[in-house]
Amino acid sequence: MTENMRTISINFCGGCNPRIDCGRLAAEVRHALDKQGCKVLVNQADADFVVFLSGCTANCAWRYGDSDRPQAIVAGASLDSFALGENELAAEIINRVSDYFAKLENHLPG
Amino acid sequence: MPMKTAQQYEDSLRKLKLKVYLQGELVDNPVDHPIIRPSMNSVKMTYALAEDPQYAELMTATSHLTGNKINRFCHLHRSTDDLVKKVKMQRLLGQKTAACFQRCVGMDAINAVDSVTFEMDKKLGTNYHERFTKFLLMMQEEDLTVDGAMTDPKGDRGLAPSKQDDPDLYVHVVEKREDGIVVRGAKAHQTGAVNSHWILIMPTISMGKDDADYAVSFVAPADAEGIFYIYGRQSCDTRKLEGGDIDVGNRQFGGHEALMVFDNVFIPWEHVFMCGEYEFSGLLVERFAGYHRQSYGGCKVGVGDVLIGAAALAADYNGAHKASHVKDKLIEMVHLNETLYACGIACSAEGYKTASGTYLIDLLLANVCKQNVTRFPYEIARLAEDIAGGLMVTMPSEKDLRHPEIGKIVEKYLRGVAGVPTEYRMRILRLIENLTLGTAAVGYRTESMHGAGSPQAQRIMIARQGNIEQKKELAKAIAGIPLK
Ligand SMILES: Cc1cc2nc3c(=O)[nH]c(=O)nc-3n(C[C@H](O)[C@H](O)[C@H](O)COP(=O)(O)OP(=O)(O)OC[C@H]3O[C@@H](n4cnc5c(N)ncnc54)[C@H](O)[C@@H]3O)c2cc1C
Ligand code: SF4
Repeated sequence: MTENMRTISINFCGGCNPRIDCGRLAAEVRHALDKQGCKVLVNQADADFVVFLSGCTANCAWRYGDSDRPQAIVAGASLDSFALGENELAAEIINRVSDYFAKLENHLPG
Repeated sequence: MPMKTAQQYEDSLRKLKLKVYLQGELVDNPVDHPIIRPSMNSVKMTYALAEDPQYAELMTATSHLTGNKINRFCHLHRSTDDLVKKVKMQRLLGQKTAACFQRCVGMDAINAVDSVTFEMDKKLGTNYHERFTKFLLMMQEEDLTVDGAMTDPKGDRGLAPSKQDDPDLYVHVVEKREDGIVVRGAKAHQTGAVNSHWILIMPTISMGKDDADYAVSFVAPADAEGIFYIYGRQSCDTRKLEGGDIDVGNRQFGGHEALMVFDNVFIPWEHVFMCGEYEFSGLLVERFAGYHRQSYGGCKVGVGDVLIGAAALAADYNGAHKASHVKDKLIEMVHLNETLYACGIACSAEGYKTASGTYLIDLLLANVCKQNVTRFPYEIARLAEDIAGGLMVTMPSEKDLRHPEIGKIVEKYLRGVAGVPTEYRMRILRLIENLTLGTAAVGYRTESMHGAGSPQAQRIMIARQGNIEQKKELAKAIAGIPLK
């Protein structure tokens, strides 16, 4: 792990009544981000980027989470309040994270 | 002036030039018509309570557009707290009116149209949300009552809108002009239409490409050229013409529905929020219906509170209140009523933020709420009728009670326990009759069944949201069967 390795945390909701498979989604996201050289953490509020991952629209990961870091919010089959198919979520989350870091590197406003 | 007083609301209605037919006659002055007036009083209560500091927490909210204090009926829910307060406000109003206070349909409509137009614009590059927001600002600043008009007459239920024999059985666009559209058709069962300043029209079902002309949403002043109303009949409605106040059961408050007809009505573009985007019609129906299914977890519970109180008084007045089965029936009524409330609160507490920032209820729980509403008020009404006894439907009239000779007979033979005037007993039994069989049964029973969608509509949503596959996986894990 290098000093300036990007950290991304996947913050879970609690998982009482999920309408999407959070475990599988997290594994897919972790796998793709690992390959991009990021360090993937769980349930950390102070990572460089936080993915709130809730199994349903109640959105407990975000609701009870406490982080002011750049973020993407998954609540059931939606990303940042826009409905998506469950199978589209992983790719969209990864795009969101990559876009953010690309903008950061180019010093563009996030 | 972000909030109207109750009197200002009544005065504002007098200025409207509504064309209303009631029992075959054009009504000159709907506000003072004895059949319509109690329903106006119910809406007026939504203004009166908002003026009262005691109820400010539930009845008012802060506009996210202006920061002004506004009536909650004009508010977009900005948090789950707002969703919870909405249900509590509806319970309160149900308790104060024992009737449908009508203003919720418009509130549910603005909340649905807000998020759907926002998402439609993002996807299609349209500018409906901006138009809608301008309308909302006016609604909030003028504290308007808006009728939420979704249900079309629908003709043959087995056919899509564009396949009907008569194209007007669903509201549709008949002409597109540079300055706006012309629409024709009708909306059925319109709650509070005659007490509204504006109407907000939405499509009634999910539509396909062939139905694009029917995928239309817009607002219009309630008295716009070409719009007229045929007032819905309610059982026992003409008792309101008799002049007394016992036989009507609830002399002050009521609800109403009307058939709303659009006879080639011109709508300027600035008031159009959907025109042909059929792929968003289903989302709008789902969200509006979801909010309205939540609403019933408040309003019907408030009315239920009054009915339970009335049944308990009926037992006090006939001396049966100490019987264990009566106590148990009252407990069961409370249990059923609070179960409805629990569903209303639960779908609110589990609500979530849509892309526009407006909060939506949990749709599965809202549909469960409404599914219970299609059943429990019937059971509560059945228990109330059980406790009330047969006199509720065989009792002589108020005129008999007031009669100089037979009045004494009525007084003597209808008495229950000593010390309670016969008149009180009659009043309570008439109230139970009103709620279970009379004018208010429209709201408490049949509206509980069909309003916000008939039972099957909720079952379809429950099937869609119920996540049976995940439940199977849970069972497999426990039973030792390999998972997917
Ligand atoms: C008191 C009251 C107030 C209302 N207020 C409003 C209001 O303010 N605004 C508004 O827009 N609407 C309002 N409604 C309308 C309400 O949403 C409708 O009553 C409801 O959607 C059912 O439609 P319907 O009455 O036309 O029943 P119908 O469509 O005639 O349904 C009757 C039965 O047929 C079944 N059925 C219908 N179509 C099909 C089909 N295609 N396939 C299988 N089964 C079918 C239904 O499930 C139901 O069991 C109100 C209704 C009532 C009773
Ligand atoms: S039925 Fe209930 S929710 Fe609907 S308008 Fe009447 S009071 Fe409001």
